[in-house]
Formats: sequence, C-alpha cells, structure tokens
Amino acid sequence: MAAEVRVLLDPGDDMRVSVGLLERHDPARGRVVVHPTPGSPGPQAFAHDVLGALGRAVNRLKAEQLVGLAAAWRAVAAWMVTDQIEDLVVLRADRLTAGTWARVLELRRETGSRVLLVCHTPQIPAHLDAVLAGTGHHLLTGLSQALESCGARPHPRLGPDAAARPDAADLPLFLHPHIRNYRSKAFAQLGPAGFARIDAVYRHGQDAACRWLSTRPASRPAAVGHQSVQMFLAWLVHDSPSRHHTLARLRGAQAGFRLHGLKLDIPVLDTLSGPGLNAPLVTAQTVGRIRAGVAHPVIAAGIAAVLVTGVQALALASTPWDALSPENDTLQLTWHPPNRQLVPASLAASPTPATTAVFHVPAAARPLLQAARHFSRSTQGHRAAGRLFAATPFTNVRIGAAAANCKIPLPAQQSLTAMWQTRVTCTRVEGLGTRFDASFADDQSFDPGPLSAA
Amino acid sequence: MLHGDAGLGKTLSVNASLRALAPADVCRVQFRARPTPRDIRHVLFDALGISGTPPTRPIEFDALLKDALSERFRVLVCDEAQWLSRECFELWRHLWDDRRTEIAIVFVGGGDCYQVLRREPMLSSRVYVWQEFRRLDREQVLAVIPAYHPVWAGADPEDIACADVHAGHGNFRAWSKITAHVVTALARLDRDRPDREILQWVFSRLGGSGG
Repeated sequence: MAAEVRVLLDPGDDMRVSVGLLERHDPARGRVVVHPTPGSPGPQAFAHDVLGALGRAVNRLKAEQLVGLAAAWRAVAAWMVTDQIEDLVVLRADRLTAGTWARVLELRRETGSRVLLVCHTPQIPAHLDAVLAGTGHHLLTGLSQALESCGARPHPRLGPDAAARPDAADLPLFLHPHIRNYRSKAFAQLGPAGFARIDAVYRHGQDAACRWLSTRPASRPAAVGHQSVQMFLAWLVHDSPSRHHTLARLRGAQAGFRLHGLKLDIPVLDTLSGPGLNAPLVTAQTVGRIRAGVAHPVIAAGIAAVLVTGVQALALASTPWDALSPENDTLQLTWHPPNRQLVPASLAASPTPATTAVFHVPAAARPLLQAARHFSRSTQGHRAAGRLFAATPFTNVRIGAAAANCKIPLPAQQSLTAMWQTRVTCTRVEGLGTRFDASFADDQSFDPGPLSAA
Repeated sequence: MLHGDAGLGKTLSVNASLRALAPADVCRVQFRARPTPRDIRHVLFDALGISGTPPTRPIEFDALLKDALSERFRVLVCDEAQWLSRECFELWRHLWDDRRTEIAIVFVGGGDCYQVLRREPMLSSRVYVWQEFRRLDREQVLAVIPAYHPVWAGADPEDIACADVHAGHGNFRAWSKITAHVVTALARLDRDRPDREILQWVFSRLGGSGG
C-alpha cells in the first residue's frame, strides 16, 4: 500500500509555516524538508533539490553525471531508501510543475515515504490537483495539523561497530611467529608491562575466534571453509588501530582455532597488505564526509569500497551484485588471472586459479553500498546478474576526484593477490589443542603472576 | 521595507543609519531595470566577494550564496526594489528562509514599490517594518531646512517657504540642489544669506517657476 499523501494549504504564505517546517528538517531522523530552488520548477531541478536536502553535494552533479532526469531521480530513490526517509515535505509545491508532482508521487510509491506538499495558496492549483487523482490525499489547513502528523524516529545511535577505535594505545612490536609458546615468549621479551598489553589484544582475538567457531553449524569438519575463515579474520581486524594490534589479534585467533583442533596459518605480513595493515579505518566520520562530498550513490560506494578493500577503483568496476552480502557487511572480490593461451590446452600448464579476497564492511559504510545496489538495480533493463557499480562513470580518475572533493586520501592501491587474507589456510590436525599438544597447553596456562597495569 | 517617491532620502537614510549601526556588515545591491533571479545571483556573488567562477546551475549557485551568507550576519540592502519580479522576491525569500543564513534584507523602493510588494503574500509575514517616506510638509520644511545647511540658518522663513513652493516641494533631493545653487550664488554675489533675488536666479537654473 502506497504511503500517505497530504497537502497543506498556506494561503497567507506565512513565514511560520515555511520556517516551522524547515526547522523540522532532520534526515538522520527520517524527515526531509525540500526547499525548491526559485525559478526551477521542473522535475530535473527538483530531483537535485531533494539530493541537496538529503545532504548530498550539489556541486558534483555534473562531474558525477547526475544532471540527467532519470539518473537524478534514481539517485534520489536510492538515497531515500537507504537513509530510511519516512517523511518528505515539499515547500513551495504550488510553484512546481505537474510533471514534478507526478515524479514525487512515483517516488513515494518506490520509497514508501509519506509526502507533504505545501501549497502557499488558498487552494490546490487545478493543474496540480489533477495529478493527485486516485491518491486519496488528505487536505491540511494548519501548520499544527502538519506537525502532528509528521512523525520522526529517534536519532540513530552508533552501535559498537559503527565507530572504530582509532585511539587505542599503541602496542610494542612483537613478531614471534609460533603459537605454541607465544605468550611465554612475549613475557620474556617484553617484560610484565609489554606482556600485559599484548596479552589483552591476543585474548581479544582468541575469545572472538572461540566464539565464532562455537557458532559454526557442522561439528568437527575437516576444515572450515576458506572464505568463511577470511570473513571472520577480516572482521576481527577491520578496526585494528595498528599493524601490531592486527598481528596480536591474529595470533590470538590462531590460538583460538588451535583450541578447536584447527591449524590456522597466517602468512608473514611484512610485505603484504589488506585489512588491519594499511587499509584506513572507515568510521562514521569518514562516511559523513563521503555523504557530504558526493551526490552519486555509486561514486559514494566506490570510495567506501576502495577504502575498505584497498584495491583500485577500476578493479572494482565489474564487481557483481552477489559479491556484496545481502546484509551489506561482507564484500567478496575475485580476480581471474588472464588465461589466454598461445599453445593448445593439452600442452599448456593448468590455468592459474582465481584469487578471492573477503572484506568486512564496517557498519558505517554499509548504507553507501546499499544505496549503490539500489541505484544499479534501478537501471532500466538491468540484468539479474548485473554489476554493483553499473551504468556509472566508475574510473580511478573519477573516484579519485570524488574522494579528493571529500578530502579523503585513498590508500595506496594494491593488487588483490597482495591481500594477506587470501593466503590464509585452515586445516584440521588431530591432537592439536588437546592435552597432547603439550607446549601449547603450557603456554595457554602460562601465568606470569600479578602484573602491574600496562 | 522603505518606500516612497524618489528624492525623499530613503537611500541616504538607510546608508547613514547602517553606517552607524552595522558598518562592517552591509552589502548593497542595485540592479538594472527588471532584473532576473540570475541577475540577483550574479550581483550577490560579486557583492559578497565570492572567489572563483559563478556556477551555472541555480541550485549550485544558491548553495554557494547560502554558504557565504551563513558565515556571519549581513544586512543586504536591495535598492530600487520596485523593479523586482515575483521570481526575484522568491529568491530573496528563499535565501532569507534558509535556516543557515544570517541575513536581514532592507528593500528600498520608489514609485509603486509598496503596491508591488504588498501584492506578494510571502512578504507580508516576513517584512518587519513597512516604512513610508513622505514629502516634508511646510511646517517640517521650515523646521528642518534651517538646520540642514548653514546658508539657510539665517534665511527668512518666507523665503524658505517660497523656495519650497517653487522648487523644493518637500523633496530633500530638490532641496539639496537648491542649496548647492544658493551656495554658488552667495559666493558670486558675496552675500551671506539668500533672498528673493538669489532664489529667482536659482529657480531659473533649476527650470522652476519664478514668482
């Protein structure tokens, strides 16, 4: 059922009506008040007005190819759905064209948003009234009526995952590669204070791994799926404040896996890149800058995806929809090496297998990817197996320019094969983590005695 | 909103008042006849000293103007407001209604400005003061003109009344012209106050009727 349409008549063009409604403009609480640009009554300009009201950068419309009517309205719908806009208030509606009203009503059907059209006239102009036929609209005659029926949801609060922790204290460097005696070596090398700090991060990784493994459906499989392990590890380190934290968390995760009889091998991270190493933290503040500096949902998602993955924009251009999990929390990228052969297949070596890297998408960045998905799916004639960043000027240059407009530096762009998580292996080894794994058991029970706080 | 016939001192009064009240916050804009919203945007762009090239798209332009107008409080003085169309008033209203901008707008207009602005419902609830400027009546002329310039300080009130009937008409701009000519005549004739002979000469210079 389509959402409600209301028309508020303000025959005196009272300042209190316009200002009263503008004061209730609060996109974060699902209410947007559009104050149309004078002298631009058509649907194209109005779509840009809505983008501006949603907080998008209207100075980027041309650069991001959102000048056209269809693309602009698709962007509006994508952002409104993603931002969960429940109320769309349109001031000066009597000055808009019938075509604009028709678009607004279409938008209401697509997004489920309630619409309040404010006419600063004694009655709805006849040519606009005709557009309302069949909508069952309600006529309001006072601001108080409009405000009463203009709900707003509570302000969103950041969840624990929504804001990363960039301010965590730095850790001492500890590169010991063996899990069987990691803790005792840390104490020996770093002393009580350094050990306490490393051990807290290690325990965090270990506890997280144990929790995750305990929720796995199959009991004692030969191994845990490579991509699901990647997914867990990428999540574990996505908000890691430094390489040292990443390493300590991963060592803790290795210990957790070992307690479950699984041998988790992490490659030497020195020359590799990926989550927790050189990918910038994507915080709510970063996403706020993207939202304010970009108009196009796909460009916004592109910047977020480059930040999350660390690969160049062009490498993301053909990402299929199903690479993004339905919850928008995981992005899975696959690189197929070129397999063109100049010799017959029978004589050629077996083709290089594809590389798949899994990335955790922080909560703050998920709405951007959701908006991109909505935009790409609304392309006329879209295919079920379409691309996430389809029908968009998605190049390194454009994403770079858009990021620069948001004052966001993009990471040094790496190849997917340089991502550490692609080289992780996980196998079941009999006896691992049991009492027969003596040195590891000793290390787990290693107790340095009372420690002074780090 | 200040309105009244030409020459009654509207612009002079606004300028003098704002020089005293908000000398650093005033931005004056004046247009050619029948400006369009585009003209207003460009004039404001220049008057606000915004750097760079003016945007081509109205929405971008307005966003830029709103950014500039939200930096600090400003008084925008729009002279010759009688030339503004409904679309132009819409633009002023749009900038003023915006939550971020901090502006007061002073419309100054002659002729049928009052009628033009009163026709716009959007302005009735937004205009704080409708200040009408009228011609000085005879009593006011006799009280004000001797204080206006030293050459009138010792003038015979009959002569001042005569000058108002034939050339001043209670209009300050006309009185400033009369005064300038009187000053010239007094200097040439080496006299210290105007009399009928001097006024006749002034009237002839102004094209007014003698008598």
